[in-house]
Amino acid sequence: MKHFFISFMLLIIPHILLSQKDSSNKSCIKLNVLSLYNVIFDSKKEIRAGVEFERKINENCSSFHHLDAGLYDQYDFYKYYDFFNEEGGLHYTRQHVTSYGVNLIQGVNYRLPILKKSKRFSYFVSSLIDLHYYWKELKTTNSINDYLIQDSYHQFSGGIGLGIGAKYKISKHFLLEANTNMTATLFSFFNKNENKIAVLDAQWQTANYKLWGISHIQLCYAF
Amino acid sequence: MRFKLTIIISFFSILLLFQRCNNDPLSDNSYFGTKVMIIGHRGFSTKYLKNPGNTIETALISTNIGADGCEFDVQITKDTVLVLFHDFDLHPMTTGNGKVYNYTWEEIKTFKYYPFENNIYINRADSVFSQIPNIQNYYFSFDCKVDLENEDLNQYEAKLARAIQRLCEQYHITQHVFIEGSEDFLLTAKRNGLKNKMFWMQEPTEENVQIAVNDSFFGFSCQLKNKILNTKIAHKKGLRIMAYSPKNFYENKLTLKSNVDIIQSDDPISILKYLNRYNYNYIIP
Repeated sequence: MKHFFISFMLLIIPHILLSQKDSSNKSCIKLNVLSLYNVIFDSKKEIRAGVEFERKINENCSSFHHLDAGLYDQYDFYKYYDFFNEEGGLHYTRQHVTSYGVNLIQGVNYRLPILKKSKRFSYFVSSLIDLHYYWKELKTTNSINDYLIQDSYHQFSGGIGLGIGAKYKISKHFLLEANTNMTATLFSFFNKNENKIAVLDAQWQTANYKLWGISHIQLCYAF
Repeated sequence: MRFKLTIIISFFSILLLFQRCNNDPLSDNSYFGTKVMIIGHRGFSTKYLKNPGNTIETALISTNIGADGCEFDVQITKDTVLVLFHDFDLHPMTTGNGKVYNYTWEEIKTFKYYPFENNIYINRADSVFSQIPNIQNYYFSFDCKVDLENEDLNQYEAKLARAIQRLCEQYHITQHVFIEGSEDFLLTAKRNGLKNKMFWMQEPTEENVQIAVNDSFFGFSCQLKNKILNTKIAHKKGLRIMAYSPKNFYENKLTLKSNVDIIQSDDPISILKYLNRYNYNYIIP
């Protein structure tokens, strides 16, 4: 229950801040190009997109809402046995894995005043909450008897974290942003304990999934 | 400035598109009607970890990511304990000094891998094998390190062969452990009753293929060194080819193009992903 309360508080902080008087009313929509990395360089199928909305609260602060959702994983994992046909011939197990997910990161960016002098570059730190819901289906086939085992898992978890980032102003409306966040698990609910799902939009995470890092490279349109 | 940026972005986009389109699929079917075996070099490549390899940590990564096993470098101590260690000399890789076979296991086990910050010590083979779950589902290749400077070479080779035999019998994995070595060592191993698959560390030239057939070896173990290997002569005589140390995706693909039977890769991840044999569910610690 306390986890829900903390999550809720962290979720509404940006909105509370937003309700303060906004002098400039500058907003920004962003497209995360790093979420396309696996689509290009990995053999697994991935159809997902990362978009973000950022709104200026005052000169130094802005709130952001980052949504990354879609099909995260669709791949086959073949494991072969008996390569020399000594124990009944080559056989395999095939795991067909499908994972869908929604990641929502909400937080506040605080522009670092010490680096304000540059006209094009600005640097910021962020505090954030990361919520994600995943659904995963596993179909395992054994080539010896064509026996199919089907199972599905779902998981809802969240964490809080800190981030750093930088923005580069390309033109009046277009910016390039790079940021990276480190997040720690706050709560996690899953239907099957033995098969915890990794944080699917993370570039790095610990083996027990307690700590993860997410980086974004975003093309931004400010208006 | 904006024009330059557009040109740069367009260039990289075209490059990515080309890379994506130029995906001529290579098959992992082997000459002998099975699949090409992918195993990790020295357990698992040292390029991903601050780990010297030849340890339980690296072996578990290989078996968990979907590889079919791994390669280890084996030597024996003065009291014939089989240990996993690459170099003949303990220096500069460890805090020890001198040859492995001049120390007993009690002495060897105190030597720490020097250049690495972690507390990693030399592993003994039976300790590593006792910690690998479902060991009979995997294959292991032993690169048998025989120091030619050893004063009693014949006795050393015989002791090393018997130590391997004891390990294989203990875990019932004789058919799952390959022996890599010189012709001399492999013949000594055969004379000492080893029934493992023997891989001669030579290139499969016409002359060598004939020798391997006469010696009843199982195949060759060789390095490709950025060239396509002629595997046909060996295959026609029923000999397998194990290629070691492709270091990256490009070298892995080149090895696969050579129709080898076993790839001992320094970058097993890229080739396993390419062949739909990578376990994405496992996270490397």
